[in-house]
Amino acid sequence: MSGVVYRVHWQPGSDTLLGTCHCGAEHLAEDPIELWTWLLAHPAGHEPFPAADEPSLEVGVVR
Amino acid sequence: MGPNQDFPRNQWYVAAYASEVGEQLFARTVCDEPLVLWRTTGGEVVALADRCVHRRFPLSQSQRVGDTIVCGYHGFTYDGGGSCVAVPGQTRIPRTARVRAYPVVEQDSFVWVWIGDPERADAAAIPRAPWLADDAWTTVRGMEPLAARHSLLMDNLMDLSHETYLHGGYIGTPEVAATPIETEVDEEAGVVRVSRHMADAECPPFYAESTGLRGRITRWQDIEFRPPCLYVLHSRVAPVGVRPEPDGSDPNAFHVKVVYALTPETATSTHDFWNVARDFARDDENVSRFLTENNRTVVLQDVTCLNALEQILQRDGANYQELSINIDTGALAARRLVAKQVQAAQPAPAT
Repeated sequence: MSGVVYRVHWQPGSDTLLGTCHCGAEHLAEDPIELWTWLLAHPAGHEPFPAADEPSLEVGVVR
Repeated sequence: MGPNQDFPRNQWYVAAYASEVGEQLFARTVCDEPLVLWRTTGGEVVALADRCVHRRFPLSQSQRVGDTIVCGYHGFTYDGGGSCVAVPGQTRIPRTARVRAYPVVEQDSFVWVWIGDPERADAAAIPRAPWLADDAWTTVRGMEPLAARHSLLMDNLMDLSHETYLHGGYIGTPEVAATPIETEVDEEAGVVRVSRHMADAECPPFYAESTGLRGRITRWQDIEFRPPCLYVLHSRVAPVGVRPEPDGSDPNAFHVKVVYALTPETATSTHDFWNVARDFARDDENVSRFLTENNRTVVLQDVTCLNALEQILQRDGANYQELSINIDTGALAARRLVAKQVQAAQPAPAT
């Protein structure tokens, strides 16, 4: 396993996803696109505490 | 990898099962490139472009003579490396008379082919599926042609919640769609993992018939996808509450490796190679027959669904915004890794 690993944990009993960046920063979201956008923005917004107001990614178009 | 996008070219793809390629010339298209494959007298599999350099006659419809192919139109003759060794009526062979030869590796019951820059073909990078060629496992397999793009099959396999609705009565039960998933992306290794562990679930017919389990089960689904081609579902079923031993052994569970190779044929069609390897009832022909028929039925349910989606995508084009929810977390990750592979194969912009 390499050092660049992203993890997304779907919290049981909820609709909440907890994303953990390879840097250790965490973020909660209820939309996987929003969460991936946050994870892949590393290091932007990856302060040690969960951020609340990250922008959502436009819903993608199937290609 | 839709019609408007290129394939990730500098990648290994499964072109065939090793058992499909013998002395006879064998045609298959991979990433829009028509290939002719055959096994030399030394037993080695070779792959050449399936077009004679002279008038583009398909070499797969030509004659094999020893370890050469003699074009069925005018007799241009090629060796296994793609070099032209004879042309009709003259002794001079034009310098440009050669067809492209593709790097090939036979491994884990598959014939892998490298479609991109041959200089970058590293056999050590081919993802492994050792169970398929291991005597400790029994494997049933098939290949279904899919009239749908690679990304539709990838989406399908990365989100198994569809088992509940599309494959009810075969592999789907209510617990699959109802159970949260864990997703992990190893960026440098190029792997997406999606896990769904059901502690107390109904046993679907696929497992009830093959294992003999009759009560409720603990069912684990652990996906490892190495885009763009190799998908492995590590499936573990056991009576409710039965867990692996502290030493890591797992003698009281049944294990299945469901291995798919997703190989683009064209921008809108895909070779859907499927394998089911098991570590139980290994010599039981009835179980093999049942799993072959049952899994093929499941795959054909996917084929019908994805073929319909392909038609809809072609009709609606980009005038459509899809919606993703939590179950799509892994599929979104897989799409991104494939997009990254496509981008990596693009020529660098001029500076």
